Amino acid sequence: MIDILFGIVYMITLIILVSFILYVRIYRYNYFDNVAQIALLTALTVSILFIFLPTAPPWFTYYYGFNQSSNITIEKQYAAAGLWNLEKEIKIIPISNILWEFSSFKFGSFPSLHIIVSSHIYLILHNMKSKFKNYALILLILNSMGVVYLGHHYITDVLGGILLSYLIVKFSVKN
Amino acid sequence: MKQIHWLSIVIIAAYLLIGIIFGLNELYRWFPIYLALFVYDLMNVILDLITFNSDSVIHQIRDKLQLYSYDLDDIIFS
Repeated sequence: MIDILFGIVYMITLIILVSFILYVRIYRYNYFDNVAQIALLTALTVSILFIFLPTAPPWFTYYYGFNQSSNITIEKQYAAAGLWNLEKEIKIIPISNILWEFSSFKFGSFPSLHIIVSSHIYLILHNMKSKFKNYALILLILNSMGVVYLGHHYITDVLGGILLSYLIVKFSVKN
Repeated sequence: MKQIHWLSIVIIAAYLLIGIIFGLNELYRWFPIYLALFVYDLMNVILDLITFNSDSVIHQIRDKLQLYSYDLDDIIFS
């Protein structure tokens, strides 16, 4: 049950991000330039980190170990997300697997993009003094627990994501 | 490389869609967001080149649906 809850929260973060950008565009147009700037800064920072500091996520280490030169012949396992378990249980087309396969970086564990996105949304809403900021805080807390529980990130990735998000928002948003 | 990255197509389509919905005059305001997505996409391409997984998307889907598991050793560690 908790697998499915965290899996759903994990998967809908992208939808929430798109909704948030549209919300800012439609209702808080003053903040739109800031949000766009934050998005660009985040992409640049995260890309540099992912390319120059590749880190294996916990599920990968769990399945394949640390010794990458060994002759591994076990079946390929994917991200340990709740929806993946759900797909495996009810034997449908593995949509989350296919989506995961589109992603090239299996070694982008640090920092957690899900945490950065949730934290950005919370911090920006906090800056706007919006009434939705509590929901964003719930999303951030659920995501923080979920990514660790599902084996996508270590706790250091979560803390690093929050710190990076705080720094980016602090430097981008004008008071 | 031979592959056309799927995210680039999605980004361009979404950018045009934004232009249609909110008006062409506003596209420059969305430019940083789309630049961010392109940076992200470029990172994917770079990681494709320097690590593994340089097959086309169609090839990946076909493999995924027909052959559910394959030898990771061939892909990553060769």
